[in-house]
Amino acid sequence: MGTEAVGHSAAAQGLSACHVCTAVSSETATSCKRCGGRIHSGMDSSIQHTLAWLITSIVFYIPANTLPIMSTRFLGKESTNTLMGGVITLWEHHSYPIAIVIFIASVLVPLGKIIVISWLCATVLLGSEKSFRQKTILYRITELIGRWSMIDVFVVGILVALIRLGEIMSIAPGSAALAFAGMVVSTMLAAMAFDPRLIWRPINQPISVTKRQSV
Amino acid sequence: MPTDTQSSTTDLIACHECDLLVELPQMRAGEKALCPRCDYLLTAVKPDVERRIFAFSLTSLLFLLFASVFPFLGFSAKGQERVVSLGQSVSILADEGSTLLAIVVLLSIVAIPSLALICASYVSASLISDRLFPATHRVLRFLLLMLPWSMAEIFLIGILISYIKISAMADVAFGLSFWSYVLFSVSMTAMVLHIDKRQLWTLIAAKVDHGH
Ligand SMILES: [Zn+2]
Ligand SMILES: [Zn+2]
Repeated sequence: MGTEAVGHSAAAQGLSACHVCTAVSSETATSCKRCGGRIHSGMDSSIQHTLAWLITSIVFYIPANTLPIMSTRFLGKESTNTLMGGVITLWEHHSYPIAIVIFIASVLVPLGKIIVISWLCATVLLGSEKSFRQKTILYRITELIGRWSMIDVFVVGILVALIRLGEIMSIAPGSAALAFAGMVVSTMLAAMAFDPRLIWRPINQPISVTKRQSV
Repeated sequence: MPTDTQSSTTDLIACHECDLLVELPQMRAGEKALCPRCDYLLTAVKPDVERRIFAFSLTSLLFLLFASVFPFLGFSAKGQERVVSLGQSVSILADEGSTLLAIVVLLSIVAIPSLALICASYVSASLISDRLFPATHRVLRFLLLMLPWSMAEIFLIGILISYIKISAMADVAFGLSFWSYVLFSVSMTAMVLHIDKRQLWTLIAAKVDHGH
């Protein structure tokens, strides 16, 4: 730990941090002195953007789970698999580790992410005043693991590219694969749009600048 | 309204996640500062950062170049054998009726990573040279924007899972390109670990001031 000084919220003192380079400027400044980027505190539109991306991800989530993710042609016969169907098949073939990895990455993580971000938005809108730290850590984990859901899209891609034995066997991507990719991207955008500083807003009360203490 | 924002921009930082205003102490290479309220990593000062980013970016770009010319994966079953390159596997995906999916895969495993690496080499070369190259600010902003969408390491886990899935029914061979892609991914990760927003922007700002 290198930090020694403990202060108050930047916003409460009329200061705003640049998202791009972390420089602190006056809230009234329009562009950042260090990186030249536009300064906007953006906290108010954050919830709106987050909710818009959340709704988009839910719209993608439904076809991603109900439509076939890939179809297998084996000796002229074609069979399709949904995401969950694929996990069940793997489980029945005793491929427990991959079944678990795919289940976690493709079913649990996206659903968990949608639930966590919705809940965070709800607590912010309701002005919740407890467990700030836990909520921030939950957000951090959500943002960190979200991109790993892309695994299944890549698995489908690799299987399609590799398993092509002419008339004997081939695999084609299903429409759920694209919907799934859309869902991963929109949950990532939802997490990025959410401003975690909103969680702390109830205790980031404005203080007068003369009382600011930097030890 | 504060009147001292000019001087305070140098060593003050507001936590990205909880907005706590923190005064950073003088930091040496290898040290990092965590937010005292929420533990967010405020900044981590890396030693010799511009040279390391430059070296890892170039190494990484070179391995990605190798990865695109040799056989990537081989597949053999029932007396048939086939070998695909990285580019072929993407174009097969497009041929199989999912052009959009092929584009998403191409962007996340090749296009965005290579763009990010080119930007990283540009920014680090700019910091190494005597004067900043034109548009260094814009290139660094673009680089930071690209990074979350580069998914080489996730693709590798995808290959591992596909391998386990297929290995029961067929033999999968890893080509020269595959190993090259692994090395590309490792050195790109090493490059990304050296990126600290505050440190890079501070270095650029110092260079701009020095130039005047
Ligand atoms: Zn800035
Ligand atoms: Zn914090």
